[in-house]
Amino acid sequence: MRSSAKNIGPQTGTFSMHHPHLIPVESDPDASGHQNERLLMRILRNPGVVGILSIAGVMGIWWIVSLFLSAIILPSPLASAEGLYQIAVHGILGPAIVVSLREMYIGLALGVGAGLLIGTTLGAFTRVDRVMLPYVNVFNSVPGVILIPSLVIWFGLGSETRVIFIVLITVWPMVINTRAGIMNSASRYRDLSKVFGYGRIATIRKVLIPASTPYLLAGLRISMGLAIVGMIIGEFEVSYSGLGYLLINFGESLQTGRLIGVVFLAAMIGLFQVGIVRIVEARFLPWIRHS
Amino acid sequence: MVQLQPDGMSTIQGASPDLRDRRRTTRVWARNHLPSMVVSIGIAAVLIGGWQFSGRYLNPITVSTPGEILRSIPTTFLHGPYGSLASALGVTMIDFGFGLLGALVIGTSLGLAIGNSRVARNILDPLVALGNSSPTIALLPLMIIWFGFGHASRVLFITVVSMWGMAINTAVGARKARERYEDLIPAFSVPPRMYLTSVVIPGSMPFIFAGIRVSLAHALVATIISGQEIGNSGIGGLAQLYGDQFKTNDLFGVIVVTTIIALVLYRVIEFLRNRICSWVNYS
Amino acid sequence: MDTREIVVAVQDVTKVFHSNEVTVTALQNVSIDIHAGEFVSLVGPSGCGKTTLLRIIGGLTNTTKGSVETLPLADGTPRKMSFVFQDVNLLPWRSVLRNVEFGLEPISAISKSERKERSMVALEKVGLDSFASSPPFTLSGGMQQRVGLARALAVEPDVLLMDEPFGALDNFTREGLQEQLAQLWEDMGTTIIFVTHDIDEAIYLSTEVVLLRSNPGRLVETLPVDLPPQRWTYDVRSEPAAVTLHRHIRTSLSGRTYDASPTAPTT
Repeated sequence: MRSSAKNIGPQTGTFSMHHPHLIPVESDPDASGHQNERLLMRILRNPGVVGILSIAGVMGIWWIVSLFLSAIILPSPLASAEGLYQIAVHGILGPAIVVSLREMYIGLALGVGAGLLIGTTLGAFTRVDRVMLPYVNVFNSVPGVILIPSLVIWFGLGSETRVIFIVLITVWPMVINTRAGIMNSASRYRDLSKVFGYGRIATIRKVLIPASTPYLLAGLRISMGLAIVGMIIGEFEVSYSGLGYLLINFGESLQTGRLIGVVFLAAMIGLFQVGIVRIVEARFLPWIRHS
Repeated sequence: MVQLQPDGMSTIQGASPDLRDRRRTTRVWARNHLPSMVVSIGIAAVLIGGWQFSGRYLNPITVSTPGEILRSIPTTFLHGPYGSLASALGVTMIDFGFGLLGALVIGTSLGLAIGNSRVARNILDPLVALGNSSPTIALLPLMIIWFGFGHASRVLFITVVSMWGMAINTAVGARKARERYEDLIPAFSVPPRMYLTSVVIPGSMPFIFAGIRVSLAHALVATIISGQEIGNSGIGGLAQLYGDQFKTNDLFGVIVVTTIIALVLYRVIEFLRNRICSWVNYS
Repeated sequence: MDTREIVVAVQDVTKVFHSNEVTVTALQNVSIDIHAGEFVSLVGPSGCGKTTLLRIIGGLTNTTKGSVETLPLADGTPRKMSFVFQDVNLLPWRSVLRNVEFGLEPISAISKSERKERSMVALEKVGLDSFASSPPFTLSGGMQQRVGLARALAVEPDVLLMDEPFGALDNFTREGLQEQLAQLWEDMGTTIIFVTHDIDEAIYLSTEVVLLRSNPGRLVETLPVDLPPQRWTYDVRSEPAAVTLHRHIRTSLSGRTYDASPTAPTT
């Protein structure tokens, strides 16, 4: 059943439009002299190849520059990778990742959950929204970091403080996006649910929430990014463990290779999350791209 | 929308914009919004009043009271126990201003390059995507190693953290504007530079402003965190000190002032956006 | 006297919209009776309030003055209404079948399997049963509109309200759907109220045409369409009665009359 959908769907069509240069080079005997040149041009115009080349280029520049600097200022890419490998082998990295990710995902889950709930309420109930919106705007504008010292006073230096901090910064993008999504879908599908006799709650559940998925995913992406930032900041300031603590620690003890290794790892976590959301979206919510 | 414009009406010319209608509009607005404003302010009053009242029974070191905080703001502002908030603000605003300016300049340039040329897009897109989706805040210790504990280190840190949102948004906007009006180039033989300055850049203004907003949020966070971690300076450093010393009144004063500054900055951006992008319907 | 059974009674309806310091009278003192089993088209230029009138009949908008009454069936049960929208309004995350089921879900008396069965029957009626599990975005505009029709039919309405359902389609697709709709209507005998600005479409489909004019939106006249049924079997447009009616409608709506026929220039 699903296969029929796939056959009709213009997905593959639109996808290949982005890669018009993936078409294999046809062997045209008349143009054989220019063929190598053209092949090179085609390779250079292929976004995937050039992307890899450009990242490799940055790595190359880094490596060359590192040759002229001390390992404390800038170790080579290889030395940094080795630093990462060493702390992994010595059992420093594993526990730090576990601590960090656990706090981050607990905070993210709570923040996103609360954001969904508050956002849906605001979006679906105009009166509540009119009363609460000023507060949402204020809370959303507070730069979360400034709250850390007071969170420490209230909740101490433990893991709860960092989780609470992550909740506090991840909840608002979710609230704002959910609210916008629900409101837009409400005006779009108002007639539909009225015609077929849907009540308030049934409309929210069957129409408004699914229709808001694109907005929810946008909010989730922002909140995920903030969650990593929150995790690192939280561990900078309030921690004796986790990746943020490692960063500060390696920085202070001038173990630059290991430091860059951990930075790289944090970047990978960020990329991984973005990738997961993108895959889920493409696989399970193909309609988003067509609406 | 649906209710106000059935049939996509073109009957406006038959309508009469008289004074009665304007009064009615004002009345409708007041009827819809006044009660909720009253409730909003009421809730705030109850919360703040409750806090003030319960403050008597709570530990003043951990929670303080709204009255105390308000009373202490002027002193904190002019001559706090660790230097005035005013001078800390001065230091912070210099870092913040230069850092954000750097981010806006670099971000816009990157974005326009990516949106306007395919070669630039292929080369820069992966790097910008990497910068945007990784927590650049993690670069802070490196900044200290490279540039020390001074202004330069903080400014560069703020720029590095906040330029990516600008770049991504500008790139998307420029690309959309470019592709949307591309047929104008052959139709009116528009030279490329003119196309960039009079079509692509104005057309991507809404996205540029979205980028400024994102960058502003990141820059605020980066400013405070750099104040805390790079040489204990500015508002961030002050908040840290007050927190460590349990000077709760002063700490809350710093939070209130920071929030007000952030709100004002967002408002300014919004005002400029509505002015410059008056052709976009923001509702 | 008209002895036909009245289904919807519109009495002296006025609708005024206020927006941004502007007042628009979309409908002024409109009264019509819609009779059982008729195919009634509301025709007029944009701004004449035809869509507003349909929305008022369907209960999507209220009136400023006057009333609309939907009379119950002979045994006292209320008449069921259903709506086909101009912009279809399919839910993109649901399959075609699940979209058709959407209208039946609030009715708790219908079991899950019955819902599915009835939706499949409705899809068969519009000839889309083989696309039941496809997502809507894989369908063409005309096919999506047929799904919208199936969704409306699945609730087995006594009155079907259609708001310019073919307005956004190209000519060829539109004619195909008109024919399909005409056949469905003759099979079912449902009362249909149909909004369009296309005079040919109105004549081809309707048994009765209601003309409306704008500024302010008001009723001009109601005309019967006296053409034999099974109109897809002959060329309606070139029937003399249709040509006369078309000319009458155009004259009536524009207020212009043409006295002279073009003649060869004489020297």
